Amino acid sequence: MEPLQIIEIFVSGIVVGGLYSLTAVGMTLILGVMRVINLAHGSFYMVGCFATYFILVQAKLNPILALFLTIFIVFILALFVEKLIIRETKTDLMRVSVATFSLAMLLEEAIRIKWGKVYRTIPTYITGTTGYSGITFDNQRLVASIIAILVITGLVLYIKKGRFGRAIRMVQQDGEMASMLGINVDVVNMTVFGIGAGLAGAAAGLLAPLYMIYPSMGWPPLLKCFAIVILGGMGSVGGTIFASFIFGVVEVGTAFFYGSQWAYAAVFLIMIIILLIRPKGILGKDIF
Amino acid sequence: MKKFLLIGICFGLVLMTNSLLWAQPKELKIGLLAPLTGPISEGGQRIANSIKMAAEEINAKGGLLGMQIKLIEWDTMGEPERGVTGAKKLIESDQVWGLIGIFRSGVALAVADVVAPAKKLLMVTDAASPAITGLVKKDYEKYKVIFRTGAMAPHFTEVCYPFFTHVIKAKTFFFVAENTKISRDIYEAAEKDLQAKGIKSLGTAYVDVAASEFMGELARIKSLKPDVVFTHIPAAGGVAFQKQYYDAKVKLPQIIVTGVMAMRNVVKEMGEKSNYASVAAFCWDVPITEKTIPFYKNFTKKFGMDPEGYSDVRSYDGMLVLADGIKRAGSLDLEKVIKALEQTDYKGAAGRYVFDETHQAKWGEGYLNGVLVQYLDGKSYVFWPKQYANGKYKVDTRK
Amino acid sequence: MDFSTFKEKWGMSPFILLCSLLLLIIVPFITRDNFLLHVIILANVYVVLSAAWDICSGYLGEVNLGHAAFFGLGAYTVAYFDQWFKLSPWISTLAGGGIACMFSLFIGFTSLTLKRDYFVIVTIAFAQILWSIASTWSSVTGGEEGIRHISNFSSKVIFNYFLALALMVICIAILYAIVKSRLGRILLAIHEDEYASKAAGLNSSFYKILAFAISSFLAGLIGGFYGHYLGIVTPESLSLGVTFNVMAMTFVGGSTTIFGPIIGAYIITFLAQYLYFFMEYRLITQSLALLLIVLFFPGGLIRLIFKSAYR
Repeated sequence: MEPLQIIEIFVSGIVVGGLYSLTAVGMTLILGVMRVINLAHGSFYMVGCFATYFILVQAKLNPILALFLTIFIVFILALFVEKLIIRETKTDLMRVSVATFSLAMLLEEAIRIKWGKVYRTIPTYITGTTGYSGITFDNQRLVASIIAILVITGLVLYIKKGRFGRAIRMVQQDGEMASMLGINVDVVNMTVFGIGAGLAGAAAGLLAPLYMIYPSMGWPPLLKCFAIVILGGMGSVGGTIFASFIFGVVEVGTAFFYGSQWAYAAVFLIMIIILLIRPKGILGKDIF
Repeated sequence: MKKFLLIGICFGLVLMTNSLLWAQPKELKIGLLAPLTGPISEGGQRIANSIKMAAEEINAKGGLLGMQIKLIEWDTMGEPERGVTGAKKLIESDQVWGLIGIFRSGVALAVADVVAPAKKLLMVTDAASPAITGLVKKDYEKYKVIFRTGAMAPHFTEVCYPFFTHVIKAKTFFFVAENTKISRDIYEAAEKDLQAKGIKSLGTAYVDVAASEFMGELARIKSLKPDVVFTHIPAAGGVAFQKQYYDAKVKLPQIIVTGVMAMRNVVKEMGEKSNYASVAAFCWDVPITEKTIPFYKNFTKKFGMDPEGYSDVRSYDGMLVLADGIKRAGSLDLEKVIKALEQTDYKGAAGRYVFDETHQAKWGEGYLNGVLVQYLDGKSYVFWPKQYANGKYKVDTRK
Repeated sequence: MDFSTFKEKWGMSPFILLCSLLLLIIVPFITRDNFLLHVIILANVYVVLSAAWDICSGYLGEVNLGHAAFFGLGAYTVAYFDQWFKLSPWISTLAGGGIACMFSLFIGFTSLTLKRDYFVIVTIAFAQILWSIASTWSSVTGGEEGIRHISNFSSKVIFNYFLALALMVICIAILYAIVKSRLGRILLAIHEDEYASKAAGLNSSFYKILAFAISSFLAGLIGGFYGHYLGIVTPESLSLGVTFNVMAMTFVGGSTTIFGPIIGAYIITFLAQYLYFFMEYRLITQSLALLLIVLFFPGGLIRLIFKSAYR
């Protein structure tokens, strides 16, 4: 095993981790601020992918516009979902789980009936590859990974410094106090949900050209996000990003040595072990 | 006045219903089992549509033994329990004459144990486990109702042989497949048969069915440097794998056996990432028989997408072969139909159908065969066998 | 017999209970339709699964999203015992319940001591790991083709029908007895406020693990019956799909009631099998209906119908 191979695995893992991080941070945001387990998070990603497909391939608009449009579509969808479904059910874990799961199935079936008869894929819009002595990376993947990190960094800065960000942090700390101080908690929650979903939409816009697009594509990302978020600590954005990288490297490494057939089981096993040893995750705050 | 009108309408209705009853030919009910919803519904819909297309053609020509074929669908969702429930419902409630279709060997094997005691014919068109026809071998009297026009696991390797032995003249290969039992069955056959031809296996990589990232596997392939990469990822991951294969500049000759990469409308949307990919397809729109090209034309026109060449064609042919068997038997008596089917020699869209003693449609020269196709710069061309070839195989020579 | 106190105590008029039971008993004698019998058997299986789930997730409040794991464990246990030991189906079914219970004890000891919402995740993870092993390790588990030719109780549909009915009645009776007993009140108390219950001197961990174990035992037991009845066992029985079906049924019927899951299981099973006129739209109709019920009738149908008896 040459050192070059180790570097290749490591760097690939980081890149892959970066790809997962956007959706994972979306989930951790919702989990951290609203304390809601949204089982339809993968569906938002899936809807975003279909939106990107139609905008790019059928309407043939430019990719940057497609990305923003996709984020916008998913954001609006999420606002509706929050107002109609989440707000009503979030107090009861069982209720919110069934509600979001039914929503996820509903979205999947609706898309399947209308557009699911054919497999689809999108040509990558950032072409070419970057390489160094035998290790090559597809530019779309690299750029997507980098943009993901930039977006998350921007978001974190906004939450830490911006006015609205302060409102979010206040609501997360103590909702009642926040509303007494005049903050409209409902609006804050709705926006946070929208942003969380919007991140999944952004991931869709950046990643859709890498894979194939089909109605059931939302479930694997959902389960992976769960694993990452728990690993990194629910509610901690930094922990989630860190966990995404670790996850990516573990995934690529396992695939290299053993074949990824066991990766799925391994991921959940690691999740259980982490939960038992250190329930807060790597950098997490105990949000439940 | 109103009374007369009323009587007139009633009379007219009675006449109408009577004529409807008289004009209605008897129906031959056949149950269609396929996953119509759920994660594998894309393939299931294709199977169902192909069978329906075949039934419509038969009905348009006057039906079968004077009866119109009526297909009754049941959504199995790929789950054996739903398959069993559906088979029971179709056989007992709907009183179908026989069953056709099925996707997923797990479902087929479960349904086999429902049709066998009930003595109803089952035409399997897309479930490749050797265990299915193995049942016929093990207990002929019980399972002789099962026939298969679909391919069997070893055929997935045999369709690729020419690539190994004639095009590349390989000495080693590496197997990448989605993590299903059928992949393992394929590898088992491949390892044995290729070894007999002097071709060694350097290893295997099984990927999760829902996986979309393959950097690890590709790194391993690059480090092992096999002469041929033998790929079986028929579902969504297949496109992602090919894209990453191209990007990682693996450049080793790759043969992909059927699946999503055989669908030209999907491959077209991949852009340059599909370059150099070669597919071993069970069928293509070349004149394998006189039915092949019309099938491709009609399918594309009706459903707006290209056939895959496997699940769709074999299902279409499955319906035709079944109809042909019933026609030659001249009756719906099960024993007669089974005997007639065992003597099938029928030219379907994919080739010539003859069943062997385990009721499996025979594979090989003069029976059912495949073609090897390559994609380059937005075009696809057959490079094997010579009689249909319109291009030569090109190796990836990028820097 | 004083019907009003019976109704108060049992939450449902005894009349309705008796009539429904009688109807179910008569059905196989008035119809030749084996498909209907098959669907009723499936419904009964899901009744046991859902009611068992309700004890742990509804009454106790520890939502178990890996319920399918215990169902599947029962089914696979039966398959292996049949292959290796050739035991009578009665014994292997009981063993199915036992093995499922054993696993639940292990999980319970390790995760019910954590705060409530982690249990949810551990149970999902457990079920997913088992599902992944069952699908991947084909040499041992048969992969997605599963294990076939499991011996059955009887090849006669009627026998299986009444066995399923009997199992359903027995399990519901057991669960009902638990719910109305001191144990039931303890579970509700722990659900309401665990700290207060602890302060009052209850060993809450013991009761939590007990409820989880009972829930899993029954799931494994009916899983064993399922394996013998279908004759085939596949990773599907371990899937999230089963757990969510159970959740939907409990919810639609009415959680934290014992008769709610019965109604929910029957309605959803029948809808799933009989809505075949619009095969393609079945799933979307089900999801939409479930979503609407969750939003507007969170108490479930049983609270809608029997308003007086339930809060």
